[in-house]
This record gives sequence, structure tokens and C-alpha cells, in this order.
Amino acid sequence: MKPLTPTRYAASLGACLFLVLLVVILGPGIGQSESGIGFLEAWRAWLDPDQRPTDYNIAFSLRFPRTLLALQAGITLGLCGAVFQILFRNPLATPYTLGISSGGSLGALVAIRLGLQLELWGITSVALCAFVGAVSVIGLIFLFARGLRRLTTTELLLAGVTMGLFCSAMMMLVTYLSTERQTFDMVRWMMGSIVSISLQDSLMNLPLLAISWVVLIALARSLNQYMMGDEISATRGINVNGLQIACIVFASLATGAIVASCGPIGFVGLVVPQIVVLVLGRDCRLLLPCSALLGGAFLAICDWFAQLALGWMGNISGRTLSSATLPTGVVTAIVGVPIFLVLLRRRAK
Amino acid sequence: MSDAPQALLGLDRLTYGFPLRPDFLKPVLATMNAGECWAIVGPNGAGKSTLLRLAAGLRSPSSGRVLIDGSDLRAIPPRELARRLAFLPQNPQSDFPLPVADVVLMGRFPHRRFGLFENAADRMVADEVMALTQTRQFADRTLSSLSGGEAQRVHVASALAQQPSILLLDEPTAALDLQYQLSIFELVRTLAVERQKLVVVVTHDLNLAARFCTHILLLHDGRCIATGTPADVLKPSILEPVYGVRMGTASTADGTRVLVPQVSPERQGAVPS
Repeated sequence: MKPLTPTRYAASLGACLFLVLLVVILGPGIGQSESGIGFLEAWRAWLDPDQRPTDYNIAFSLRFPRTLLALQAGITLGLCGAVFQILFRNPLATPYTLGISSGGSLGALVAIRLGLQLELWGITSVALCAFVGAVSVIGLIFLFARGLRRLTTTELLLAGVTMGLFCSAMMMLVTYLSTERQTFDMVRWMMGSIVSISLQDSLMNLPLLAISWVVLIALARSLNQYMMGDEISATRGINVNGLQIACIVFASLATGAIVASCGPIGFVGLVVPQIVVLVLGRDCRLLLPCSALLGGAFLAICDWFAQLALGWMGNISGRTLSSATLPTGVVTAIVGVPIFLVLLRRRAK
Repeated sequence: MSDAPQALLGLDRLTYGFPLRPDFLKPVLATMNAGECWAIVGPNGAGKSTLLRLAAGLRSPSSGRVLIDGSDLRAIPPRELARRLAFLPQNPQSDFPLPVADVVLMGRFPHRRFGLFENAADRMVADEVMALTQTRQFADRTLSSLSGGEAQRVHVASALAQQPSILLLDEPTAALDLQYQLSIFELVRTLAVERQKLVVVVTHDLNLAARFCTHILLLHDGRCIATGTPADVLKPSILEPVYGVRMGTASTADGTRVLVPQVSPERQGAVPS
């Protein structure tokens, strides 16, 4: 393997950026088909919104925000997956390893059960409670780790898995105590879906997410050192505990925000960094930004399938299926699991 | 300390304790200078690695100080310390697919705060230490594809890329075959004597220590038993009570004196001949 040069760096990053750009360009043209608006109609409407208000609305008020939300969620999950895999020195670590998704889900379920209707700065109570739940889990883990001389990754992992199991049990309790209608909403929420009401709505998380992205990607060189082991990185001037805490805090805040707005969407954080490691190597300078960009593109494309799949199945079977979209989490699993298994086989060879 | 206040590395009455053994390491006093190669030797659990970690600043002593060029280690900012002192643990992580050249360049980390890539000067340093450690031929291979001895030399190269004046190595030859043991110790000796660095090596091999190191620090049960030249310290009369093994000496054809542990008579009887 050749050492990383600025040329190879720029080429790899450029390829990933191109893919994201492609998704952004194609985004307004892809959605449920009965509207009859394709790629060309969408961009023609963009040039002249007054002449084609319906086309413009469908392409840029419905589809485009959804693509943007999927991109943000995918970028966050791909990046945090890569960071956690390095941080825990474990390829199975994902953005949800520390129990963030279970904590977030518990928060959301409680909000649904209580029928909370309040809104804060345009954030629904379900999203708010999900975020609070996700962050509380991390808070509890830090409380657990506080005062320990050094937190090893194994103990952190176990604490996170245990917290996740506890939250799952509490989720069952809340579900058990709910009405049928509430249970339906809960199950729907836990499937993870990308739904956005408006462009403004889809960009609400962006400031928090963007800060986390920048911080985590800026830590790439430190994470490279961290790979060499705690002691080597410490004697090279890295504050190992500080690095671990910074990664956990920023990755968790960002993931919490995504769980709050999209639910627990799986497999992006697990599969995308694995693919990047296999293709580009484990140098964090490349691994982090490329996992982010590919994660964004992967999730946006999965979300297109989620919107189109039922229509296609209807065409094949000759029956008109409901026009509803699939939950995005279902599609990431259907696409992600085979890819992951193939990669595992290749790795084991 | 008074005779050499500007020693490169001074261990000034260092003590250290674990939660269950609060007075484990008894005060250790040593003065180490550039151009010297020290071996820390002693039985398992004597405190060799603990002492090395105290000297590297990875652990804080219960009392006493580590002095680097006369100033307290704790007062030196971590990155500056990393430009003066490098540490290599026993069995460093080697199972990841990074190109060897990049692993060596990672040693430049303390010298570059910003920027994603090392500059031409960094690459020159990396090239030089790879030549010194004879790892240049692996530059494009991944670390995980190398054998134990080759990977160890790459790790030494990476530590050297920090351009430290002090190099601390924890059992660098453990699990290496004879040829690599010799090549590592020859490298250590070269670094000390020709490059005027201070190299401190934790090792179990008394004969390699005697042959390649200029100074020995003998630990037993957290207590510093002796410091001095190999000829002064590595004598049967000093080693026998420490290791609980009878020691003999012999001379090889080229006149090198070697220590030979003696099999005690009762054990000898148990060995089928």
C-alpha cells in the first residue's frame, strides 16, 4: 500500500464529494412516481418557479429537504461510526454502541405515551424527548466513569451495552402500558424514517451537526496516533482521556440529534466505515471524511429506494399498493446486511 | 544529583505505589546522560516497567521527581516533552493495515500541530530513521504484513522520528528471535554511542544487557539494588540473591564474559538425562 499523498487524498475525497454532489443534483427529480415529475421537470421548474409552481413545490419543497435530511443523517452516522470504530478499537462499534439509540427511543416512546403536544422552537416534543433521552444515556455513562482512574474502552463498551439493554426493557414497559394507537406510533417511530416538513425543518439540526463534523474530522491526526495505543499516543503529546471524551461528546450529540429527527436508522454507521477501510485503508485523515460523505450518499440513495420500492412492487405484481413510503431503516438493513456479510467473508479469507 | 545537575534524565528519589501496594517502588535515584545506554533489569514484578513509565511521564510518582535537562517533567508541556522523549511499550499495536512509511511519519506528530501532511523536512527525517533502522525496504508494505521483528524495528523508527534525545524501550526484544534481538540491541547501542542519545531499555536478557549497554540498573521487589557499569552490577554475588538462582560465569572464544545460570543440584537430579 502506498503512503498517503496529497494527490491520493484529493482524488479519494474528490470522488466522494462528486457522489454527494450527484445525489444533490438528482435529489429533486426522485420521489414517488405518480406525480410524474422527473429530473428534467424538476430543474426546469427551478429555473422558472413562477411558471411551474406545482412542479417546483414537489421538487424543492418536498423532495429536496428530504434529500438534505438524509444526507445530514448519513454523514453523521457514517462519520460517527468511523470515529467509534477507531475509539473502541472494535469494528463492531457503531454510533449506537453506547446506547444512544435506545435512550433516544425510550425518550420518544415516553413522549408518545404521555401524548405530549408541546413544541419548542419548532421541535416536536417527541424529537425533544428523544434527544434528551439519547444525551441522558451518555450523561449516565460519564457519571459511571467519573472518578475511575482511566476508562478503558472495554468497560465503556460494556457500560453502553448495559445501558442500551436497560433502556430496551423500559421501552417494553412503556409499550406495554400504551394503547393500540400509541403502540402503532411507537413501532413506526422505531423503524426510523426520514420525514421532513419543510426546508427550514430539515436544516434545523445543521448548526449542531456541522460543529460536530468539523471537530471530529479535525481530530483525525490525533485518532491516527490513538490507533497506535494509549501509551504511544500519550507520549506523543496527546491527552488520551480528553480525546476520548471529545469524541464521545460530539459524536453522541450529533447522533442524538439524528435519532431525534429520524429515529434509529441502522447499518449506515456499521457498513459504510467498513467499506471505506477496505477500499481506502484505515488512515483517519481519509477514513473520517470519506465515511461521512459516503454515509450521506448511501443513506440518501437508500431513502430513494424507500420512496420508490412500493411503487415498483406494485408495478411488478400488477396491484396498486399503498402510496406510502417504506421506513428508511428497513431499506438500509436490506441493502446493508448483504454488503456487510460479503465484506466479512472477504475479510475472513 | 549535586554532581551532575544537568543530567539528561534524572530520577530524583522516585517512589510509586499501587492501590494495593502503596509503597511498592522504594526511592530510586539515578543520573543518566547523553551517550549512555541503560538497561533496567530484574526479576518479574520487580518494577522495571513501572519505573520506565514513571520516567516517560505516563504515571505520576507518589513522591520524588523526574528531571529532564534539570527541569521537572511535569512542568514540560506534553508536546514539547514528546520532542525530547520517546517511549515504546512492550508489544505495540501492529495489526492494522497502514503503510509503513506513514507509521514512521506519524512519529513527526509532536513537531506538527497543524496541517494534514508532513512536509519535506519531516519526510527527510523519516527517511533517515528508516535507513538507520533498516526498514526502508518495507516502506510501501502495511504494518500488519510484517513479521514481529520487522514491525518492532518500524516502531523504533517511528519513535526515532520524534527526534528525541531520550528513548525509552520496554522489552523491545521480547518474542523476537536471536537475530532480531541482536539487531535491536546493536541499533540501541549505535543510537547511544554514535548518535549521543540516552537509551533506556527494560530487558530480561542479562547477557545482551552486559554486552551492549553501558550502564545497568538492577531492581528487585521495587527496590533499586545497584546501579553502575555491567561489570560492577552483573556479578554472581549481586545477582544470586536477587534471582534466587546460582550463577556462574564463562568466557566465550572472543573473550566476552557471559553469565550462566546454574541448575541447582536437586533440580539437576529431576532432569532425566
